[in-house]
Amino acid sequence: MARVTLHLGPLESADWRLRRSGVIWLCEEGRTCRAGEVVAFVRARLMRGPQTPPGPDIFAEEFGDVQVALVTPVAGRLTHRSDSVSGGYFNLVQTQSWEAGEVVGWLDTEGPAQGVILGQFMMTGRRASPLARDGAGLLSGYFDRARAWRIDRAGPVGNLLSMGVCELAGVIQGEQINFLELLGAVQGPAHVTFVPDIPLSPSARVLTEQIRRTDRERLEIRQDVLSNLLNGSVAPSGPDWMFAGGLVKALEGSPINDRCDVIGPRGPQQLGPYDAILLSLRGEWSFSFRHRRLGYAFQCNSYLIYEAGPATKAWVSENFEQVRRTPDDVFQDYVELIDLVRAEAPATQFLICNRMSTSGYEDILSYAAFDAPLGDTVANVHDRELNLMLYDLARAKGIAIIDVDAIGADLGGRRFMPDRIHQDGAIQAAVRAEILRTLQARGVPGFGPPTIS
Amino acid sequence: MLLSLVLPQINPYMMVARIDALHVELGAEVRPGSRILDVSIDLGPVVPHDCPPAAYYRIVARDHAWLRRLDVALGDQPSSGDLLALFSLDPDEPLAARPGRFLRVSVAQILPPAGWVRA
Repeated sequence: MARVTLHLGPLESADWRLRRSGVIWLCEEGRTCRAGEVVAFVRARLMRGPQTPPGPDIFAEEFGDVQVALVTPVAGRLTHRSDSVSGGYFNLVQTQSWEAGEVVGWLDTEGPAQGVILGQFMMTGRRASPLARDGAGLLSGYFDRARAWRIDRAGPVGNLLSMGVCELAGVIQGEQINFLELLGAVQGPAHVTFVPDIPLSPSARVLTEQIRRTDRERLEIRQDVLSNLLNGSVAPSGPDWMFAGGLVKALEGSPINDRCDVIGPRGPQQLGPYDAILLSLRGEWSFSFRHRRLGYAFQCNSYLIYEAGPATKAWVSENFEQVRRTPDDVFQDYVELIDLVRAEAPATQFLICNRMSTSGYEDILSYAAFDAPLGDTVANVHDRELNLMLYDLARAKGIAIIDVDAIGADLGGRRFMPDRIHQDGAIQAAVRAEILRTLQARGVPGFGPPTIS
Repeated sequence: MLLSLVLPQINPYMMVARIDALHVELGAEVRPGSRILDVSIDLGPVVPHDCPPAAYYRIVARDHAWLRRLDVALGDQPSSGDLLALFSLDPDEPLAARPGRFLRVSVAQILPPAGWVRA
Protein backbone atom coordinates (compact mmCIF):
# COMPACT_ATOMS: atom_id res chain seq x y z
CA MET A 1 0.00 0.00 0.00
CA ALA A 2 1.36 3.39 -1.00
CA ARG A 3 0.13 6.95 -0.61
CA VAL A 4 -0.68 9.05 -3.67
CA THR A 5 -0.83 12.80 -3.24
CA LEU A 6 -3.65 14.65 -5.03
CA HIS A 7 -2.68 18.03 -6.49
CA LEU A 8 -4.77 20.72 -8.12
CA GLY A 9 -3.86 21.00 -11.79
CA PRO A 10 -2.90 24.04 -13.80
CA LEU A 11 -5.56 26.57 -14.67
CA GLU A 12 -4.10 29.63 -16.31
CA SER A 13 -6.02 32.84 -15.85
CA ALA A 14 -3.68 35.16 -17.78
CA ASP A 15 -4.45 38.72 -16.73
CA TRP A 16 -7.46 37.73 -14.68
CA ARG A 17 -7.54 36.71 -11.04
CA LEU A 18 -8.76 33.15 -10.57
CA ARG A 19 -10.50 32.58 -7.27
CA ARG A 20 -11.98 29.39 -5.89
CA SER A 21 -14.15 28.16 -3.06
CA GLY A 22 -13.09 25.54 -0.57
CA VAL A 23 -13.06 21.96 -1.80
CA ILE A 24 -16.56 20.50 -1.81
CA TRP A 25 -15.98 16.78 -1.44
CA LEU A 26 -18.35 14.39 -3.20
CA CYS A 27 -16.43 11.32 -2.05
CA GLU A 28 -16.45 10.80 1.69
CA GLU A 29 -13.32 10.53 3.78
CA GLY A 30 -12.15 6.92 3.92
CA ARG A 31 -14.16 5.78 0.93
CA THR A 32 -12.51 3.87 -1.92
CA CYS A 33 -12.72 5.82 -5.19
CA ARG A 34 -12.54 4.54 -8.75
CA ALA A 35 -10.05 5.83 -11.28
CA GLY A 36 -11.89 8.46 -13.31
CA GLU A 37 -14.34 9.31 -10.53
CA VAL A 38 -15.28 12.89 -9.73
CA VAL A 39 -14.32 13.13 -6.08
CA ALA A 40 -14.86 16.83 -5.44
CA PHE A 41 -15.52 20.18 -7.01
CA VAL A 42 -14.79 23.81 -6.40
CA ARG A 43 -16.57 26.94 -7.49
CA ALA A 44 -14.32 29.22 -9.51
CA ARG A 45 -14.58 32.85 -10.48
CA LEU A 46 -12.51 34.90 -12.88
CA MET A 47 -12.20 38.41 -11.52
CA ARG A 48 -10.73 41.55 -12.93
CA GLY A 49 -7.28 42.51 -11.71
CA PRO A 50 -4.96 45.46 -12.31
CA GLN A 51 -3.66 43.96 -15.56
CA THR A 52 -7.01 42.85 -16.96
CA PRO A 53 -7.55 44.44 -20.36
CA PRO A 54 -10.71 46.47 -20.95
CA GLY A 55 -13.54 44.79 -22.76
CA PRO A 56 -16.28 42.35 -21.90
CA ASP A 57 -15.92 40.11 -18.89
CA ILE A 58 -15.06 36.47 -19.40
CA PHE A 59 -18.01 34.32 -18.33
CA ALA A 60 -20.03 37.52 -18.17
CA GLU A 61 -23.33 35.65 -18.37
CA GLU A 62 -22.20 32.86 -16.08
CA PHE A 63 -20.46 34.91 -13.46
CA GLY A 64 -20.21 32.99 -10.22
CA ASP A 65 -21.43 29.69 -11.62
CA VAL A 66 -18.19 28.23 -13.01
CA GLN A 67 -17.31 24.93 -11.39
CA VAL A 68 -14.27 22.68 -11.60
CA ALA A 69 -15.02 18.99 -11.01
CA LEU A 70 -11.92 17.19 -9.76
CA VAL A 71 -11.31 13.72 -11.18
CA THR A 72 -8.94 11.22 -9.62
CA PRO A 73 -6.79 9.45 -12.23
CA VAL A 74 -6.10 6.49 -9.93
CA ALA A 75 -8.20 4.37 -7.59
CA GLY A 76 -7.68 4.28 -3.85
CA ARG A 77 -8.94 5.04 -0.36
CA LEU A 78 -9.43 8.77 0.06
CA THR A 79 -8.15 11.07 2.77
CA HIS A 80 -9.19 14.72 2.64
CA ARG A 81 -6.67 17.38 3.54
CA SER A 82 -8.33 18.72 6.65
CA ASP A 83 -8.01 22.40 5.75
CA SER A 84 -9.14 21.88 2.16
CA VAL A 85 -12.64 22.58 3.40
CA SER A 86 -13.06 26.16 4.57
CA GLY A 87 -16.40 25.49 6.15
CA GLY A 88 -19.59 27.50 6.22
CA TYR A 89 -20.06 30.32 3.81
CA PHE A 90 -16.38 30.31 2.89
CA ASN A 91 -16.80 26.90 1.33
CA LEU A 92 -19.48 28.29 -0.96
CA VAL A 93 -17.89 31.50 -2.15
CA GLN A 94 -14.64 32.01 -3.98
CA THR A 95 -12.37 33.27 -1.20
CA GLN A 96 -9.14 31.49 -2.14
CA SER A 97 -6.69 31.76 -5.00
CA TRP A 98 -6.33 28.82 -7.36
CA GLU A 99 -2.79 27.51 -6.85
CA ALA A 100 -1.64 24.84 -9.30
CA GLY A 101 0.10 22.04 -7.43
CA GLU A 102 -1.73 22.63 -4.16
CA VAL A 103 -2.35 19.40 -2.25
CA VAL A 104 -6.00 18.75 -1.41
CA GLY A 105 -5.92 15.08 -0.35
CA TRP A 106 -4.38 11.65 -0.61
CA LEU A 107 -5.27 8.17 -1.84
CA ASP A 108 -3.98 4.92 -0.36
CA THR A 109 -3.45 2.70 -3.40
CA GLU A 110 -1.89 -0.57 -4.49
CA GLY A 111 0.40 1.27 -6.89
CA PRO A 112 3.59 3.22 -6.25
CA ALA A 113 3.76 6.33 -4.07
CA GLN A 114 3.54 9.37 -6.30
CA GLY A 115 1.92 12.72 -6.80
CA VAL A 116 -0.88 12.98 -9.34
CA ILE A 117 -2.71 15.90 -10.85
CA LEU A 118 -6.47 15.80 -10.44
CA GLY A 119 -8.25 15.91 -13.78
CA GLN A 120 -10.55 18.87 -14.43
CA PHE A 121 -14.04 18.71 -15.86
CA MET A 122 -15.15 22.31 -16.15
CA MET A 123 -18.79 23.31 -16.19
CA THR A 124 -21.01 26.33 -15.97
CA GLY A 125 -24.55 27.47 -16.57
CA ARG A 126 -26.32 30.68 -17.43
CA ARG A 127 -29.06 31.38 -14.93
CA ALA A 128 -32.48 31.73 -16.49
CA SER A 129 -32.94 34.59 -14.07
CA PRO A 130 -30.68 36.21 -11.48
CA LEU A 131 -33.31 34.98 -9.02
CA ALA A 132 -32.55 31.36 -9.92
CA ARG A 133 -29.72 30.89 -7.45
CA ASP A 134 -28.87 27.38 -6.42
CA GLY A 135 -25.69 26.15 -4.82
CA ALA A 136 -26.81 22.63 -4.05
CA GLY A 137 -24.27 20.70 -6.07
CA LEU A 138 -22.44 20.13 -9.27
CA LEU A 139 -24.12 22.17 -12.01
CA SER A 140 -27.39 22.38 -10.11
CA GLY A 141 -29.72 25.27 -10.84
CA TYR A 142 -32.22 26.62 -13.30
CA PHE A 143 -29.98 27.34 -16.28
CA ASP A 144 -31.21 28.32 -19.73
CA ARG A 145 -27.84 27.15 -21.04
CA ALA A 146 -25.48 24.64 -19.44
CA ARG A 147 -21.96 23.94 -20.65
CA ALA A 148 -19.07 21.65 -19.83
CA TRP A 149 -15.61 21.09 -21.19
CA ARG A 150 -12.31 19.35 -20.64
CA ILE A 151 -9.18 20.96 -21.97
CA ASP A 152 -6.45 18.74 -20.55
CA ARG A 153 -4.70 18.23 -23.89
CA ALA A 154 -3.34 20.59 -26.49
CA GLY A 155 -5.15 21.05 -29.76
CA PRO A 156 -8.29 22.61 -31.20
CA VAL A 157 -11.33 22.46 -28.93
CA GLY A 158 -14.17 20.47 -30.49
CA ASN A 159 -17.35 22.43 -29.94
CA LEU A 160 -20.80 20.82 -29.80
CA LEU A 161 -24.20 22.44 -29.29
CA SER A 162 -27.09 20.20 -28.33
CA MET A 163 -30.50 21.78 -28.65
CA GLY A 164 -32.52 20.00 -26.06
CA VAL A 165 -35.73 18.27 -26.22
CA CYS A 166 -36.25 16.07 -23.20
CA GLU A 167 -35.18 13.06 -25.29
CA LEU A 168 -31.64 14.48 -25.50
CA ALA A 169 -31.29 15.85 -21.97
CA GLY A 170 -30.10 12.61 -20.40
CA VAL A 171 -28.11 11.62 -23.48
CA ILE A 172 -25.97 14.74 -23.31
CA GLN A 173 -26.17 15.75 -19.65
CA GLY A 174 -26.13 12.25 -18.20
CA GLU A 175 -27.65 10.68 -15.14
CA GLN A 176 -26.78 13.57 -12.81
CA ILE A 177 -27.52 16.32 -15.36
CA ASN A 178 -23.92 17.54 -15.29
CA PHE A 179 -22.26 16.01 -18.38
CA LEU A 180 -20.02 13.62 -16.40
CA GLU A 181 -20.66 10.59 -18.64
CA LEU A 182 -20.01 12.53 -21.82
CA LEU A 183 -16.84 14.21 -20.54
CA GLY A 184 -15.59 10.88 -19.23
CA ALA A 185 -16.09 9.29 -22.65
CA VAL A 186 -14.12 11.80 -24.72
CA GLN A 187 -10.47 12.54 -25.11
CA GLY A 188 -10.78 16.29 -25.32
CA PRO A 189 -10.18 19.06 -25.73
CA ALA A 190 -13.92 19.26 -26.13
CA HIS A 191 -16.73 21.57 -25.15
CA VAL A 192 -20.45 20.89 -25.14
CA THR A 193 -23.44 23.17 -24.63
CA PHE A 194 -26.94 22.00 -23.79
CA VAL A 195 -29.90 24.36 -24.19
CA PRO A 196 -33.08 22.99 -22.61
CA ASP A 197 -36.48 23.19 -24.29
CA ILE A 198 -37.86 25.42 -21.54
CA PRO A 199 -39.71 27.56 -22.27
CA LEU A 200 -39.07 27.52 -26.02
CA SER A 201 -38.90 24.17 -27.79
CA PRO A 202 -36.24 24.31 -30.49
CA SER A 203 -37.63 23.53 -33.92
CA ALA A 204 -35.58 24.42 -37.00
CA ARG A 205 -38.04 27.26 -37.67
CA VAL A 206 -37.66 28.65 -34.15
CA LEU A 207 -33.84 28.49 -34.36
CA THR A 208 -33.78 30.19 -37.76
CA GLU A 209 -36.00 33.01 -36.55
CA GLN A 210 -33.82 33.46 -33.46
CA ILE A 211 -30.76 33.96 -35.69
CA ARG A 212 -32.55 36.38 -38.03
CA ARG A 213 -34.47 38.37 -35.42
CA THR A 214 -33.66 42.07 -35.50
CA ASP A 215 -33.45 44.42 -32.55
CA ARG A 216 -36.68 46.05 -33.68
CA GLU A 217 -38.46 42.67 -33.75
CA ARG A 218 -37.14 41.85 -30.29
CA LEU A 219 -38.53 45.10 -28.99
CA GLU A 220 -41.90 44.44 -30.63
CA ILE A 221 -42.09 41.01 -29.00
CA ARG A 222 -41.19 42.45 -25.63
CA GLN A 223 -43.80 45.19 -25.91
CA ASP A 224 -46.44 42.80 -27.16
CA VAL A 225 -45.97 40.34 -24.30
CA LEU A 226 -46.01 43.12 -21.75
CA SER A 227 -49.08 44.91 -23.10
CA ASN A 228 -51.04 41.69 -23.54
CA LEU A 229 -50.37 40.50 -20.04
CA LEU A 230 -51.15 43.91 -18.55
CA ASN A 231 -54.30 44.42 -20.59
CA GLY A 232 -55.43 40.83 -21.03
CA SER A 233 -58.65 39.28 -19.86
CA VAL A 234 -56.97 37.60 -16.86
CA ALA A 235 -54.78 39.32 -14.28
CA PRO A 236 -51.31 37.76 -14.39
CA SER A 237 -49.89 36.03 -11.33
CA GLY A 238 -46.25 35.82 -10.28
CA PRO A 239 -45.68 32.57 -12.20
CA ASP A 240 -47.27 34.17 -15.30
CA TRP A 241 -44.68 36.97 -15.12
CA MET A 242 -41.86 34.48 -14.53
CA PHE A 243 -42.93 32.52 -17.59
CA ALA A 244 -43.23 35.66 -19.69
CA GLY A 245 -39.76 36.77 -18.64
CA GLY A 246 -38.23 33.42 -19.54
CA LEU A 247 -40.05 33.33 -22.85
CA VAL A 248 -39.03 36.85 -23.86
CA LYS A 249 -35.42 36.06 -22.96
CA ALA A 250 -35.54 32.90 -25.08
CA LEU A 251 -37.15 34.65 -28.05
CA GLU A 252 -34.60 37.46 -27.90
CA GLY A 253 -31.65 35.08 -27.73
CA SER A 254 -30.04 32.80 -30.29
CA PRO A 255 -28.30 29.73 -28.85
CA ILE A 256 -26.39 29.07 -32.06
CA ASN A 257 -24.77 32.52 -31.93
CA ASP A 258 -24.16 32.69 -28.19
CA ARG A 259 -20.65 33.42 -26.96
CA CYS A 260 -18.85 30.53 -25.22
CA ASP A 261 -15.92 31.30 -22.91
CA VAL A 262 -13.77 28.53 -21.48
CA ILE A 263 -10.74 28.34 -19.24
CA GLY A 264 -8.08 25.66 -19.18
CA PRO A 265 -4.38 25.09 -18.53
CA ARG A 266 -3.46 27.49 -21.31
CA GLY A 267 -5.72 30.27 -20.14
CA PRO A 268 -9.14 31.65 -20.93
CA GLN A 269 -10.38 31.71 -24.48
CA GLN A 270 -13.52 32.46 -26.43
CA LEU A 271 -14.53 29.58 -28.64
CA GLY A 272 -15.47 30.09 -32.25
CA PRO A 273 -18.66 28.87 -33.92
CA TYR A 274 -19.93 25.43 -33.03
CA ASP A 275 -18.30 22.59 -34.98
CA ALA A 276 -21.45 20.53 -34.67
CA ILE A 277 -25.09 21.12 -33.82
CA LEU A 278 -27.19 18.26 -32.49
CA LEU A 279 -30.94 18.40 -33.05
CA SER A 280 -33.82 15.99 -32.63
CA LEU A 281 -36.66 15.31 -35.02
CA ARG A 282 -38.82 15.20 -31.88
CA GLY A 283 -38.43 18.96 -31.84
CA GLU A 284 -40.39 19.20 -35.10
CA TRP A 285 -44.03 19.08 -34.11
CA SER A 286 -46.89 18.30 -36.47
CA PHE A 287 -48.50 21.53 -35.27
CA SER A 288 -46.61 24.71 -34.59
CA PHE A 289 -47.91 28.02 -33.39
CA ARG A 290 -47.48 31.40 -34.96
CA HIS A 291 -48.15 34.80 -33.46
CA ARG A 292 -51.16 36.26 -35.24
CA ARG A 293 -49.81 39.81 -35.52
CA LEU A 294 -46.02 39.56 -35.31
CA GLY A 295 -45.74 36.28 -37.19
CA TYR A 296 -43.07 34.56 -35.15
CA ALA A 297 -43.01 30.81 -34.57
CA PHE A 298 -43.66 29.56 -31.08
CA GLN A 299 -43.30 26.05 -29.70
CA CYS A 300 -43.85 25.43 -26.03
CA ASN A 301 -44.93 22.29 -24.24
CA SER A 302 -48.54 22.70 -23.22
CA TYR A 303 -47.88 21.65 -19.64
CA LEU A 304 -45.67 24.72 -19.23
CA ILE A 305 -48.47 26.96 -20.46
CA TYR A 306 -50.89 25.47 -17.97
CA GLU A 307 -48.42 25.57 -15.10
CA ALA A 308 -47.52 29.19 -15.81
CA GLY A 309 -51.02 30.35 -15.01
CA PRO A 310 -54.37 31.37 -16.49
CA ALA A 311 -53.10 34.69 -17.85
CA THR A 312 -50.44 32.90 -19.89
CA LYS A 313 -52.98 30.42 -21.20
CA ALA A 314 -55.31 33.25 -22.17
CA TRP A 315 -52.48 35.16 -23.85
CA VAL A 316 -51.42 32.15 -25.89
CA SER A 317 -54.98 31.18 -26.83
CA GLU A 318 -55.84 34.70 -27.99
CA ASN A 319 -52.61 35.60 -29.77
CA PHE A 320 -51.40 32.50 -31.55
CA GLU A 321 -52.77 30.38 -34.36
CA GLN A 322 -51.98 26.78 -35.10
CA VAL A 323 -50.03 25.92 -38.21
CA ARG A 324 -49.88 22.36 -39.51
CA ARG A 325 -46.39 21.27 -40.56
CA THR A 326 -45.89 18.51 -43.06
CA PRO A 327 -42.62 16.60 -43.53
CA ASP A 328 -41.98 18.83 -46.56
CA ASP A 329 -42.34 21.92 -44.34
CA VAL A 330 -39.89 20.44 -41.84
CA PHE A 331 -37.47 19.65 -44.66
CA GLN A 332 -37.58 23.24 -45.89
CA ASP A 333 -37.11 24.57 -42.36
CA TYR A 334 -34.04 22.37 -41.86
CA VAL A 335 -32.56 23.45 -45.21
CA GLU A 336 -33.07 27.10 -44.36
CA LEU A 337 -31.43 26.69 -40.95
CA ILE A 338 -28.48 24.70 -42.27
CA ASP A 339 -27.84 27.15 -45.10
CA LEU A 340 -28.07 30.08 -42.71
CA VAL A 341 -25.58 28.60 -40.25
CA ARG A 342 -23.18 27.40 -42.92
CA ALA A 343 -23.18 30.80 -44.58
CA GLU A 344 -21.21 31.97 -41.54
CA ALA A 345 -19.49 28.70 -40.59
CA PRO A 346 -19.35 26.43 -43.65
CA ALA A 347 -17.85 23.44 -41.84
CA THR A 348 -20.64 23.13 -39.28
CA GLN A 349 -21.84 19.57 -38.96
CA PHE A 350 -25.50 18.84 -38.23
CA LEU A 351 -26.48 15.69 -36.39
CA ILE A 352 -30.19 14.95 -36.18
CA CYS A 353 -31.80 12.20 -34.12
CA ASN A 354 -34.60 10.46 -35.93
CA ARG A 355 -37.76 9.23 -34.23
CA MET A 356 -38.48 5.94 -32.58
CA SER A 357 -41.28 4.88 -34.91
CA THR A 358 -42.77 1.87 -33.15
CA SER A 359 -44.18 1.59 -29.67
CA GLY A 360 -44.82 -2.12 -29.34
CA TYR A 361 -48.21 -1.26 -27.90
CA GLU A 362 -50.25 -1.38 -31.06
CA ASP A 363 -51.53 -4.08 -33.39
CA ILE A 364 -52.93 -2.42 -36.49
CA LEU A 365 -54.68 -4.99 -38.68
CA SER A 366 -56.50 -2.54 -40.92
CA TYR A 367 -56.08 1.11 -41.78
CA ALA A 368 -59.83 1.52 -42.44
CA ALA A 369 -60.26 3.28 -39.10
CA PHE A 370 -57.98 6.15 -40.05
CA ASP A 371 -58.53 9.07 -42.37
CA ALA A 372 -56.14 9.65 -45.22
CA PRO A 373 -53.44 10.81 -45.34
CA LEU A 374 -52.37 8.32 -42.70
CA GLY A 375 -49.39 10.43 -41.75
CA ASP A 376 -51.79 13.00 -40.29
CA THR A 377 -53.36 10.47 -37.94
CA VAL A 378 -51.34 7.34 -37.28
CA ALA A 379 -48.31 8.12 -35.15
CA ASN A 380 -45.99 5.46 -36.53
CA VAL A 381 -46.75 6.47 -40.14
CA HIS A 382 -46.13 10.11 -39.28
CA ASP A 383 -42.83 9.25 -37.61
CA ARG A 384 -41.69 7.11 -40.54
CA GLU A 385 -42.50 9.85 -43.04
CA LEU A 386 -40.37 12.24 -41.01
CA ASN A 387 -37.58 9.67 -40.73
CA LEU A 388 -37.65 9.20 -44.52
CA MET A 389 -37.48 12.97 -44.95
CA LEU A 390 -34.23 12.94 -42.96
CA TYR A 391 -32.65 10.69 -45.59
CA ASP A 392 -33.55 13.26 -48.24
CA LEU A 393 -32.00 15.92 -46.02
CA ALA A 394 -28.86 13.82 -45.57
CA ARG A 395 -28.49 13.59 -49.35
CA ALA A 396 -29.19 17.27 -49.88
CA LYS A 397 -27.19 18.77 -47.02
CA GLY A 398 -24.87 16.08 -45.74
CA ILE A 399 -26.34 15.91 -42.27
CA ALA A 400 -25.67 12.89 -40.08
CA ILE A 401 -28.65 10.87 -38.87
CA ILE A 402 -28.48 9.49 -35.35
CA ASP A 403 -30.62 6.42 -35.82
CA VAL A 404 -32.54 6.34 -32.54
CA ASP A 405 -35.19 4.26 -34.31
CA ALA A 406 -32.70 1.46 -34.98
CA ILE A 407 -31.03 1.72 -31.58
CA GLY A 408 -34.42 1.55 -29.87
CA ALA A 409 -35.52 -1.41 -31.95
CA ASP A 410 -32.23 -3.17 -31.28
CA LEU A 411 -32.42 -2.72 -27.52
CA GLY A 412 -36.18 -3.14 -27.27
CA GLY A 413 -38.09 0.11 -27.35
CA ARG A 414 -41.04 -1.29 -25.41
CA ARG A 415 -38.80 -1.77 -22.40
CA PHE A 416 -36.30 1.06 -22.82
CA MET A 417 -38.48 3.80 -24.31
CA PRO A 418 -42.04 3.11 -23.14
CA ASP A 419 -43.55 6.28 -24.61
CA ARG A 420 -41.20 6.34 -27.66
CA ILE A 421 -39.55 9.55 -26.42
CA HIS A 422 -38.27 9.31 -22.87
CA GLN A 423 -35.43 6.82 -22.54
CA ASP A 424 -33.88 4.79 -19.79
CA GLY A 425 -30.17 4.81 -19.03
CA ALA A 426 -29.27 1.96 -21.36
CA ILE A 427 -30.65 3.57 -24.49
CA GLN A 428 -29.33 6.98 -23.49
CA ALA A 429 -25.84 5.49 -23.22
CA ALA A 430 -26.22 3.81 -26.63
CA VAL A 431 -27.43 7.04 -28.28
CA ARG A 432 -24.61 8.99 -26.60
CA ALA A 433 -22.04 6.51 -27.92
CA GLU A 434 -23.50 6.80 -31.43
CA ILE A 435 -23.32 10.60 -31.27
CA LEU A 436 -19.67 10.47 -30.19
CA ARG A 437 -18.83 7.96 -32.94
CA THR A 438 -20.50 10.22 -35.48
CA LEU A 439 -18.67 13.33 -34.28
CA GLN A 440 -15.37 11.49 -34.54
CA ALA A 441 -16.23 10.14 -37.99
CA ARG A 442 -17.16 13.65 -39.13
CA GLY A 443 -13.79 15.00 -38.03
CA VAL A 444 -14.98 17.06 -35.08
CA PRO A 445 -11.88 17.19 -32.85
CA GLY A 446 -11.83 16.17 -29.22
CA PHE A 447 -14.75 13.74 -29.17
CA GLY A 448 -12.80 10.53 -29.72
CA PRO A 449 -12.44 8.04 -26.86
CA PRO A 450 -9.89 8.82 -24.16
CA THR A 451 -6.49 7.23 -24.59
CA ILE A 452 -5.16 5.04 -21.81
CA SER A 453 -1.76 6.28 -20.73
CA MET B 1 -73.95 -13.31 -27.76
CA LEU B 2 -72.91 -10.25 -25.76
CA LEU B 3 -69.35 -8.99 -26.10
CA SER B 4 -67.70 -6.80 -23.51
CA LEU B 5 -65.27 -4.04 -24.37
CA VAL B 6 -62.78 -3.50 -21.57
CA LEU B 7 -59.93 -1.04 -21.51
CA PRO B 8 -56.87 -2.97 -22.66
CA GLN B 9 -53.60 -2.76 -20.76
CA ILE B 10 -52.10 -0.81 -23.64
CA ASN B 11 -48.91 0.05 -21.82
CA PRO B 12 -47.54 -1.91 -18.83
CA TYR B 13 -46.99 1.34 -16.93
CA MET B 14 -50.48 2.80 -17.44
CA MET B 15 -52.93 3.18 -14.60
CA VAL B 16 -55.85 4.93 -16.28
CA ALA B 17 -56.79 6.26 -19.69
CA ARG B 18 -58.84 9.34 -20.45
CA ILE B 19 -61.67 8.99 -22.94
CA ASP B 20 -60.97 11.62 -25.61
CA ALA B 21 -63.43 10.65 -28.36
CA LEU B 22 -66.38 8.30 -28.81
CA HIS B 23 -66.85 7.34 -32.44
CA VAL B 24 -69.88 5.02 -32.17
CA GLU B 25 -73.43 5.90 -31.21
CA LEU B 26 -75.57 3.67 -29.09
CA GLY B 27 -77.19 0.98 -31.27
CA ALA B 28 -74.78 1.54 -34.13
CA GLU B 29 -73.13 -1.26 -36.03
CA VAL B 30 -69.37 -1.74 -35.99
CA ARG B 31 -67.42 -3.84 -38.45
CA PRO B 32 -63.82 -4.92 -38.48
CA GLY B 33 -61.88 -1.69 -38.96
CA SER B 34 -64.52 0.58 -37.37
CA ARG B 35 -63.13 3.11 -34.93
CA ILE B 36 -64.69 2.85 -31.48
CA LEU B 37 -63.00 5.37 -29.25
CA ASP B 38 -59.81 7.36 -28.67
CA VAL B 39 -58.00 7.47 -25.35
CA SER B 40 -54.98 9.25 -23.98
CA ILE B 41 -52.62 7.68 -21.50
CA ASP B 42 -50.51 9.82 -19.23
CA LEU B 43 -47.66 7.88 -17.66
CA GLY B 44 -46.95 10.83 -15.39
CA PRO B 45 -48.40 9.21 -12.26
CA VAL B 46 -46.02 6.26 -12.56
CA VAL B 47 -43.02 7.88 -14.23
CA PRO B 48 -43.38 11.42 -12.96
CA HIS B 49 -41.26 14.11 -14.52
CA ASP B 50 -41.71 17.59 -15.83
CA CYS B 51 -42.51 16.65 -19.41
CA PRO B 52 -45.53 14.38 -19.00
CA PRO B 53 -45.10 11.18 -21.02
CA ALA B 54 -48.50 11.10 -22.70
CA ALA B 55 -49.63 9.12 -25.71
CA TYR B 56 -52.85 8.86 -27.66
CA TYR B 57 -54.46 5.67 -28.93
CA ARG B 58 -57.43 4.61 -31.05
CA ILE B 59 -59.30 1.42 -30.24
CA VAL B 60 -60.66 -0.24 -33.38
CA ALA B 61 -63.16 -3.09 -33.76
CA ARG B 62 -62.12 -6.45 -35.16
CA ASP B 63 -65.64 -7.93 -34.80
CA HIS B 64 -68.93 -7.30 -36.53
CA ALA B 65 -71.27 -6.24 -33.70
CA TRP B 66 -73.70 -3.62 -32.40
CA LEU B 67 -73.03 -1.17 -29.56
CA ARG B 68 -75.73 -1.80 -26.94
CA ARG B 69 -74.53 -0.07 -23.82
CA LEU B 70 -71.90 2.57 -23.17
CA ASP B 71 -70.41 2.70 -19.68
CA VAL B 72 -68.10 5.69 -20.14
CA ALA B 73 -68.41 9.30 -21.25
CA LEU B 74 -65.95 11.82 -22.64
CA GLY B 75 -63.39 12.78 -20.04
CA ASP B 76 -63.87 9.67 -17.92
CA GLN B 77 -60.69 7.97 -16.74
CA PRO B 78 -61.27 4.23 -16.49
CA SER B 79 -58.56 1.84 -15.35
CA SER B 80 -57.26 -0.95 -17.51
CA GLY B 81 -59.66 -3.89 -17.31
CA ASP B 82 -62.69 -1.64 -16.60
CA LEU B 83 -65.79 -2.28 -18.64
CA LEU B 84 -66.25 0.40 -21.29
CA ALA B 85 -69.18 -0.91 -23.31
CA LEU B 86 -71.33 -3.89 -24.21
CA PHE B 87 -71.75 -5.08 -27.79
CA SER B 88 -73.94 -7.84 -29.20
CA LEU B 89 -73.64 -10.00 -32.28
CA ASP B 90 -77.35 -9.44 -33.06
CA PRO B 91 -78.79 -5.91 -32.97
CA ASP B 92 -81.80 -6.80 -30.77
CA GLU B 93 -80.28 -9.34 -28.44
CA PRO B 94 -81.43 -8.94 -24.78
CA LEU B 95 -78.80 -7.53 -22.43
CA ALA B 96 -79.63 -9.74 -19.47
CA ALA B 97 -77.09 -12.48 -20.20
CA ARG B 98 -73.46 -12.40 -19.18
CA PRO B 99 -71.04 -11.47 -21.95
CA GLY B 100 -69.81 -14.52 -23.81
CA ARG B 101 -66.42 -13.06 -24.59
CA PHE B 102 -64.50 -9.85 -25.10
CA LEU B 103 -64.99 -7.75 -28.20
CA ARG B 104 -61.92 -8.26 -30.36
CA VAL B 105 -60.12 -4.97 -30.91
CA SER B 106 -56.86 -3.61 -32.21
CA VAL B 107 -55.01 -0.60 -30.87
CA ALA B 108 -53.09 2.07 -32.78
CA GLN B 109 -51.14 5.05 -31.53
CA ILE B 110 -52.43 8.24 -33.07
CA LEU B 111 -51.20 11.80 -33.21
CA PRO B 112 -52.49 14.14 -30.51
CA PRO B 113 -55.36 16.35 -31.59
CA ALA B 114 -54.59 19.93 -32.46
CA GLY B 115 -54.93 22.55 -29.78
CA TRP B 116 -53.58 23.30 -26.37
CA VAL B 117 -54.02 19.80 -25.13
CA ARG B 118 -53.14 19.17 -21.54
CA ALA B 119 -50.64 16.34 -21.93
